[in-house]
Amino acid sequence: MSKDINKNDVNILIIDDERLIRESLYEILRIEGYNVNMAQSAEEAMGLLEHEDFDVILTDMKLPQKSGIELLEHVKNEHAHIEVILIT
Amino acid sequence: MENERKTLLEDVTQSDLFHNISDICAAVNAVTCNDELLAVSLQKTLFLFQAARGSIFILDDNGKDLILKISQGMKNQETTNMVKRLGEGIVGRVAETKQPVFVDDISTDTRFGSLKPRGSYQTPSFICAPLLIKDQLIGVINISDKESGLRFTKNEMQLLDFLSSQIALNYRRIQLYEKFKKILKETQTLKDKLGETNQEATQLKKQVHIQEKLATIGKLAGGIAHEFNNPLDGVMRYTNLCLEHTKEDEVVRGYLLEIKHGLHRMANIVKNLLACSRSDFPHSMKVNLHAALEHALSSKSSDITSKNIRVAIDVQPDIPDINDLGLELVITNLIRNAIESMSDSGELNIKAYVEGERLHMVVQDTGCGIPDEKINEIFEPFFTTKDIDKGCGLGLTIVGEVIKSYAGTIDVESEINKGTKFEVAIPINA
Repeated sequence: MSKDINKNDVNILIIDDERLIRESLYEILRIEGYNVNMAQSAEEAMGLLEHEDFDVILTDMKLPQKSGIELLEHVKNEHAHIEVILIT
Repeated sequence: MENERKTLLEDVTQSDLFHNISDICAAVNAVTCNDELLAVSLQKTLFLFQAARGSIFILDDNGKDLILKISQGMKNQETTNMVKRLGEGIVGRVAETKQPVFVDDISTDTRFGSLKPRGSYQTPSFICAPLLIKDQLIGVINISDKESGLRFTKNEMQLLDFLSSQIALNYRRIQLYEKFKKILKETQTLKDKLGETNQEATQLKKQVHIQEKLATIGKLAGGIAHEFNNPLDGVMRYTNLCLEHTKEDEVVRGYLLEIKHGLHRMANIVKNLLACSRSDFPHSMKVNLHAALEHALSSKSSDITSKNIRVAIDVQPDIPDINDLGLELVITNLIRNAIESMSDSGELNIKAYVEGERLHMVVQDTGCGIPDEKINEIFEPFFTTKDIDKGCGLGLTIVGEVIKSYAGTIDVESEINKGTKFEVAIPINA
């Protein structure tokens, strides 16, 4: 991302089932000025993806049901333009 | 002529004879060793018969050879252990037939033909009797050369036959007694061994139990460490966020820095506990010793410089890559300990070479050393000699666990204020 980008226009989705990690990441990025959203599971994230557009997804690999890898596959198939960062 | 012969049975009174016989019986009944039995038997028998010469042969375990065990009055110095085959000579013939032989005059006796003894006898008369227990042959007794110069009689042959059975019985008694003693001794040895084995088994059981317990605790600790990791990560981020939102001169900033310091320590413990309980090093991954060494040293380069430590490295250049079961953790921890043991100036010697199928590595420092009474504890989890915020006591535990997973060995030598030497050997193809 180049420097002249408006952080407020960047939509980020954070997926982690650990509240402390999810929310601390959310806070850091929110304070940085990004537009941030959160989900606790891959399923919840897929639901959000149906009616919201994101530029970047930050997801934990180990999630309660579907894993981060499965979510990555889904995103690359259905929403190929979204960048995905896996956290482990 | 016959009537003029003075023979033993006619020469003495019946009571004297009875006394002499019972004396022999008592004597042979009292001994507990077969060499002594044969000596006593022969000596008393010769005395009873007033004979100058005699010998006893014993049938060998093979049942074919008669071995001369004892002799008395022999001129030719016939030594003990002379062997006669069954059937060979008069002794051999008596043994084979199990019948006593009484020779009145060998020069006129027609029974023996070529078996006649070569002539060193003073008298031509002798008796040769088998030592028998029922039908079982034990040996043969010979007596000859009556001091009176006279010949033996048939009665004397019967008397010798009786004495022979006494000798044979006692010979067997002592054999059985010795066998019994041997078995008793063997039983005791077995009993002792069994006791030792039992003790070992108990010890082993105890060790297995401890190992199992440790493994459970290890698993638990690993699980807890894993669970701690996530919230710790979050708390660390929030702490950093807080620090970003405080000004340099605010009191709360100092508190937050303390929190951060504590969190770092916790993170370190968690990281080490995870390393301890980790058994999931992918086997396909290889680790390069040279690179691992360089990495470990560079991470400690500031300490090496500030403490003025001289580092000498003697590593064989062509050491092959090794399966990654945590070798880097071993190197890092040994080097870190070595450096931390030296306060100001010192030497760190690192040696590595391949010998046979094993990689050998030596890490030696000139630091404070480990006290003798502590040396057995150094691989125990949470054992540390370092200050509370410097080490958590898991470094060598990790080293020990990793060496175990390589099926390798680790040895330590240490002397207070002189230094410590760790020697590691692991199979190259672990």
